[in-house]
Amino acid sequence: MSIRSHLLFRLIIVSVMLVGGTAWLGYQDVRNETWELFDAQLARSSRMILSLVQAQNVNYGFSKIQDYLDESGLAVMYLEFQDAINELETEHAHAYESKLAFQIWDDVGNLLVKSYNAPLEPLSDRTDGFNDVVIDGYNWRTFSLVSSNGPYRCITAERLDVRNDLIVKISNDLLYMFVFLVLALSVVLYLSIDKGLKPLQLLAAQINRRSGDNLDLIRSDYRYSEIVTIKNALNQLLARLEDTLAREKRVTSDAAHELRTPLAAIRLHAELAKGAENREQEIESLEQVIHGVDRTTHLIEQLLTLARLEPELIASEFADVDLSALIVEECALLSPLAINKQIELDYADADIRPIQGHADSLRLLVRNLLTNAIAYTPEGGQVSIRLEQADKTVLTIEDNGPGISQEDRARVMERFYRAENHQVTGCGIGLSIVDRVVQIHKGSLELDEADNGHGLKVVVKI
Amino acid sequence: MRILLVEDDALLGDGVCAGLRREGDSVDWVKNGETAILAVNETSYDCIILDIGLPKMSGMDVLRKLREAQNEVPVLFLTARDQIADRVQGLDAGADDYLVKPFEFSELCARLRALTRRGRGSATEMIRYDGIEIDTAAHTVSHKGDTVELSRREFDLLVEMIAHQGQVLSRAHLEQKLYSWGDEIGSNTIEVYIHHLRRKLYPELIRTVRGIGYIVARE
Repeated sequence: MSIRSHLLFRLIIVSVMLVGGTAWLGYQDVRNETWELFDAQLARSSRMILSLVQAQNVNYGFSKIQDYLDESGLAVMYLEFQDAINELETEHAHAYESKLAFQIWDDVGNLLVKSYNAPLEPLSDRTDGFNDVVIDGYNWRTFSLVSSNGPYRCITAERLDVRNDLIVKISNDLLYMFVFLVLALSVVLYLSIDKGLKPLQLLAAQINRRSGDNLDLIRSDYRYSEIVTIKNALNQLLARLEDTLAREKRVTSDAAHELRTPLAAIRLHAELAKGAENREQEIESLEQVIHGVDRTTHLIEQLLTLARLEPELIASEFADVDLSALIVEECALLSPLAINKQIELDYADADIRPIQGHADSLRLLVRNLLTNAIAYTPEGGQVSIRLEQADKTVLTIEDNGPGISQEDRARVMERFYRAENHQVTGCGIGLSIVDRVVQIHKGSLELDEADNGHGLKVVVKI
Repeated sequence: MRILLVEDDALLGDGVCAGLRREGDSVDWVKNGETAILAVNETSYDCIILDIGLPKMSGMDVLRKLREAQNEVPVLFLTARDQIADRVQGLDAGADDYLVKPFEFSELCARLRALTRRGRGSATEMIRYDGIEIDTAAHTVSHKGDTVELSRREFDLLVEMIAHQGQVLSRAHLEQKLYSWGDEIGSNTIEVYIHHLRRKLYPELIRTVRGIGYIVARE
């Protein structure tokens, strides 16, 4: 669902409700006011007619009035009454006039005078006030009034469809206005929303037009703060992406360059073997060639291992790992190396809870640390491995090799960095792998001086 | 030639050392920048092969230190980077030439010869002196058209003496030029080589300056 249709839908519903509500209230008001107004006029007409009739009676008598009325019809009488009842504001022969009627009765029930359209029976059975009656299929509103100083009762009546027509007419006007307002509002809303969303579309188009390797920041200026927010967020993401890509590029480039040195060595020794002056020299050079190939293979394997340590992938394969059993296995695997150098591998563990982790990568961690420790420990030395349970599982590996100087400790985790004065061949990736595994397990890795003051202590907390 | 190799990679260093020694050069091999500076201050080398990617003090730093100290020894740097910017940086820092790893050993040798030749102010492989023709590339010497067989050290001694004609060269200086560290040097070896050269070429070529050293007269 688009923001545009969502907003439009909401706003139109709300405006229909508001305009509709206003119209409904207006209709109610008009209806009540019209009713009141017509009622008031009806009452006033009664009073007016009664007083006029009383006055005329003094001069002519009721029969004379009736004759006159009969001869001239209601219209003529209305002309005579016009001045008196001009509050009705009905024009001569107005469409509404025939819907007015009146009767004048005396106190014994004789019909004295009536308008031509009035029946011979009383218009209302009530002696006083308003009443609703049905005559000849029409609804009438009547008002009865008894004269205060004579025996007359005047009943005026008005057909209800007059006032209803008026109300319907006004209501129709209100309805047209309502429809027009809603339509006009919808158009205005649509245009406003469209205009409001335009920058968003522009931004999207700008991003769509980009080629995959274009990580330049979005430079266009936007007027609306919301779009600026999105733009800034996107720019930050782009900057981070560029950073990551640059880092990856650097790693690839570093790796390629790192391969050049062993390749140079292999080539050189191969050339020396080719130009050897005797068999002994030839064999010596060829052995160096093989050594170089082994080293290059190791470098590539370590690089591949590092590349495969994808955090997302590995985190999805976490399971319970018995770190203690894993270390014992690795020690067994590496013990021939240790025995060759008469190095004592000393392993001690306390009660260890299984940890949530990735067994294969933890194995890499242990193997790299142990291989390093054995490689850097002089013959007859000792490598001690301890596993303890604190809030995290703590693996401590100590050797009595040369250790790593304070300034080098921070840098040895970098790919290809190798501390100086090493007598050991390596490719400088082992600790990067260890560091990556620790990061994946959200643990910590510390390098320190061994407790005996000579050698390296590695503490891994997972 | 006395060459200093500064290379931290054991396998590559070993190969370059072995190859150059087989070519008849004296090679000292150090594995980091600090030792390289010490070695250069101690010994006068004909040429330095310097790896750029050294731990801590990089080859570039070594080069700058050398040039700051007005040491004009020819330097060829080895780099794993093939970007032009990397090479330009090395040359700007005062290197005379470079090689990108991996390289052909014969190319390394040719470039080293070219560098030392430039150091001597000569444009060709041939050195001529009073009827003696020395081909530094082929390591051959002839006198008045006749080929003269010289040992490696005799050859180096002859080139050194002729390169510095008109100067008295001390025995210590010559020993330094001829031997790398750890070479066994007999007490009168230089005298023996001088004697051989006089015999194989002609006696007046090298004159003894008693108590100081030897001199080849300016041509």
